[in-house]
Amino acid sequence: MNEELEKLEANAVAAIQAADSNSELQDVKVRFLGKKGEIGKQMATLKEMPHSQRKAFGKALNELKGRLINATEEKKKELEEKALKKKISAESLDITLPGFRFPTGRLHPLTRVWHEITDVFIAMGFDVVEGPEIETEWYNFEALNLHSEHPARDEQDSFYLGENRLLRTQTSPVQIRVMEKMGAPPVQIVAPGRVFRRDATDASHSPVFHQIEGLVVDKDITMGHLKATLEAFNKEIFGKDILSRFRPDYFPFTEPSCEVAISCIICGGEGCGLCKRTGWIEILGAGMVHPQVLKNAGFDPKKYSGFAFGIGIDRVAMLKYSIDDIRLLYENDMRFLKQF
Amino acid sequence: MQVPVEWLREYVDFEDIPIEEVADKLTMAGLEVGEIYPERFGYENSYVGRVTNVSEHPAKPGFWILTVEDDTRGNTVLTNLREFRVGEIIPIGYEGFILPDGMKLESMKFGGETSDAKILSEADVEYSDNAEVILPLPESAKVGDCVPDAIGITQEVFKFDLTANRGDCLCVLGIARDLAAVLDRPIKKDVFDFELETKPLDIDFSVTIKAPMLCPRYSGRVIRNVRIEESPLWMRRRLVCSGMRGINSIVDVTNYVMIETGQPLHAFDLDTLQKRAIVVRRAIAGEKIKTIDDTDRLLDPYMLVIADKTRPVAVAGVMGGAETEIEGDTVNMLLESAHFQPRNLRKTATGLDMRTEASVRFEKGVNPDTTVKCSDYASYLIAKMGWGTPLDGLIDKYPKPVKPKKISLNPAKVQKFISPDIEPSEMEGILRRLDFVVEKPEKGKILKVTAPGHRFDIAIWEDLAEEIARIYGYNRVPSVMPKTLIHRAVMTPNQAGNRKLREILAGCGLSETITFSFTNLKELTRIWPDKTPVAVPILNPLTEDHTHLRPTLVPNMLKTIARNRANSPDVPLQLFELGKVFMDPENPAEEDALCIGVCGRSLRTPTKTDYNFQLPVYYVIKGIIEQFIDSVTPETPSFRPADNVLYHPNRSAEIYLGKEKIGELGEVHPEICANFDIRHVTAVATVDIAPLKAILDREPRYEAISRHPALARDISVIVPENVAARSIEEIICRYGSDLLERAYVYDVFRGEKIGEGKKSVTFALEFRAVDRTLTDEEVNPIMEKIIFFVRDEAGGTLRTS
Ligand SMILES: [Zn+2]
Repeated sequence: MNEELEKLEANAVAAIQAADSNSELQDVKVRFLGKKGEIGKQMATLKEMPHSQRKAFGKALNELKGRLINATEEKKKELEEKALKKKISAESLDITLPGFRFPTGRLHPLTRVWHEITDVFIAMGFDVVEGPEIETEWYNFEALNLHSEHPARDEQDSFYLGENRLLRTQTSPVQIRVMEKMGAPPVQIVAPGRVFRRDATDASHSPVFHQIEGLVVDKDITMGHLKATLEAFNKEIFGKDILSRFRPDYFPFTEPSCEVAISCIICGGEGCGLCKRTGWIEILGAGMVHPQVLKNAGFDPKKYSGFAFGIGIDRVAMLKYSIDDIRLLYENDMRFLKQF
Repeated sequence: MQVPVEWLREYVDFEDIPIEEVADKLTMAGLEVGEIYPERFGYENSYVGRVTNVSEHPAKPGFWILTVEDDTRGNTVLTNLREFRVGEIIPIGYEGFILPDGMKLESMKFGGETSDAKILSEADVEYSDNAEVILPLPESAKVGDCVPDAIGITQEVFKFDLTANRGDCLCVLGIARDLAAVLDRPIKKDVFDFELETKPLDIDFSVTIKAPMLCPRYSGRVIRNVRIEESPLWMRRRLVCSGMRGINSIVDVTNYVMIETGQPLHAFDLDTLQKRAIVVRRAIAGEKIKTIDDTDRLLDPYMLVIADKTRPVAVAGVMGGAETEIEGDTVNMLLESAHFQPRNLRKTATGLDMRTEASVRFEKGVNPDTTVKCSDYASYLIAKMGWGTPLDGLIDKYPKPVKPKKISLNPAKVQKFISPDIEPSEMEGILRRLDFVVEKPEKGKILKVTAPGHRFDIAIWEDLAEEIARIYGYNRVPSVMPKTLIHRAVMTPNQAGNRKLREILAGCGLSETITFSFTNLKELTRIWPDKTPVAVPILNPLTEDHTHLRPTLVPNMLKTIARNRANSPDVPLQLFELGKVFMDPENPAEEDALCIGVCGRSLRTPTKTDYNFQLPVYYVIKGIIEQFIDSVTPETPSFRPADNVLYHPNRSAEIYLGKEKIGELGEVHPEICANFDIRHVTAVATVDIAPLKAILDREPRYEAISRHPALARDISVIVPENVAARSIEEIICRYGSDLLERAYVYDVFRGEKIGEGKKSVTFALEFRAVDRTLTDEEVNPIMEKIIFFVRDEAGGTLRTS
């Protein structure tokens, strides 16, 4: 290889190495490898060369061209990598700044509990039904053995909308409506819904609250069935280790009636403020459906028996989420709502 | 109902059982002991104190000034009883301590020195009449003890939360009976075991029952020469422990008998009754009575009264009249013991707003068997205490004695109903313990059971089953899962729909609120002064705010936003409520409604300079609505200007799905915002959810998607500001042919180049065919057509880039 080519190569390599950007590199490429570039010029001299030298010079020239192309490619890659690095470093962000986000929507704790309770009962084979919030005295009281001067009506002061028309004080009227509609057992339903009592608002009372009514009627339904069903419910909702306690209570539409308590979810039965040192928390009312109620709904109490229960959804929500004031459920403060 | 434990011990032995356990057993048998509390008879404000300083009174010789203290309190006491040493332990009563005359101890000044407590004497706690003797403290008394605790006069009291059916337990005897049954121990004492000595009756009096349905039994006895005085300490103490007050001998004895036996009694001054006649009758319209609480009461004809020949002298079973009340000079007292029908009595007491100890008992039922026995018991106590002389000749009107009902009880049925583990013999035993008469037939297994007179709540065999179960113990009943046929349990479509919608709404970034179902006309007219929505009125509202059922969710949403704004001014709010609204006062109906509320900047951006955009809140709520509807149905809603004073007239719209209007949305009119104390731009939307629920109920259907690429074009149109983008989009869609898959607003630009009062709207168009790849040659003519008609119909000019 002659000196000229060696010089050319040295120049080209130096130029390639010196290129600092893609465009500079492109210029170098054109200068040396382009149609009218240095290599091209040398190619043009081939024709005038003696035959003996032509072959060797041509080979050397081609090899040189190849080396330069490689060098350019390598340099190109190097430059690209450098550029990318630069771009990436220029794009650095404060990664702790808040992201671009839409607000998160949350369901109300009452809705959460409502869904959870109905799911538990659906899993146990209960259909979920509903009844009207505006009721008649017959469905809300009379059909449930609560005549107008019944002492138990003290606890159920109601809002009246007209003669014989009121806002239901309990979800129990759905029992009668369902039995009337179905006409014959088996009945296995729950009915969640809103109820109203003419109570002044305080930490534990609200004129509006929510209940879920349950009813099972069939042949040979026993108190043992009632207990097993509600024990299962309590465990599903409050935890596997929860114990249930049943004690006599009174509701005009069940006989026998019972009040169901769970072992305290805070102290586990040792006694604390929440359970008023008893170790137990009252959670729901239940009982065997009163024969007169079955009769009122058109079922023969000689053939069928049943059990019914009523659970306070608000109460369950308050216990589950440690909410100490029922008013919080209806004030809808975002600081409250976003916790669920 | 409160019962001193000591009184129960007179009837049942239970010294061997801790009282907490006794209370628990009663609770588990259905008589809930809500509380066991120490009764200190008004002596709470007292303590055992230590004398820490003694000095002579500077002005009054013979008096000393003592400083008395315990760990938390300190008092100054003036005394002339004797000289005290520092370190002596003495009983102290301070401000609020109730003295035997009923007055509260107050601080006082004597000779220029203040005394704020006193050393308690025997008389002060009614140990004796001796006010000079300092109450002796037992060895066990510790500094800081409450004095009644220290001297052992504090009594444990059971406070019962009784159920409405157990009227028989509104007395010591009733609780004792159940306690005996629960513990399976005998009743030690027969309260009616006494000898009543009487003097001959020497005057005439009469009793007539004119309303036997309302008054099945009435008895009267004359007691001569009553003496009104203070009753003895033991009696007053029992009354206090039972939640009553000591008043005077006769009132106290009638209360005492009522507390012990459950039978309310009333005492008349017989000589004030005209013709000494008792007539039990309904009131006559317009009749009035002044009751012993000195209140004039107007009576209704449904009410039962005790009258004499001319006027009512008592509201039967509720309260006596003032004019016939016994006084210190009463010679002949008539003691009434009666039985009244519970329902009418309750109605009367409620109607007159007078719930008395007597009425509470009568309305829950009083034993008609013991009407006279209880009267005799009171007469016996009066005679024994020397407060009067009972005369014989008691009148007892009981025209139709209540016949005890026999109930057939099949033990096998009880086993099937409650538990197979309860043996028939145990059932019998339990019933007998509860004073039921159980007859066993010679043949067969059916028992004949008769309830005792005090158990008027027992009517059917299921009642007996409950009695058996509650004494047997509910917790001993084995739990058994019901056997059911396998079936698919479902929700109603309505509930399932509501549930899905709630979840979708939360997914759209909305948090759920739940508010009361109430509203009032004031807040409705604050929004809609003219076309106020018609609301269902509540006849007996509880508060002024809650006079009607809500016909719309909007006012509650605005109030929720206002409250949140007040509490946390910067929190962005995106809320929804899905709840019932009520229409048509004539024939009230209820339906589910949905309201959405947005207030504040809801898109959170890292910094103001980075990508802050001031999007009108209108577009935020519109975006939410579009997102929400898109989650429910592939159909695209359209929006037309709304006409509702709730909204900003230029920033509101009606929402259409197909041809059906399904709601409205918009920024709330600034004036209405101000009316609800909201200072930020707020938007609300209301949506009919019934059509959406119907859509949710349908299964989606797949439509074929093309496997060929789309051909994208765009078009920028310059139009006057007031031309809605939607109207141009409609033109584009109309002439876009079947090949136009999609057209949407891509950019809106305003600026000098465009000209004042104009905007440039850029639409992105996507063309696609199902069966082939489109070419420019196919799309170009369509684009030309679109351009032509956009110019022609919308008056737009094309903007070329
Ligand atoms: Zn606890």
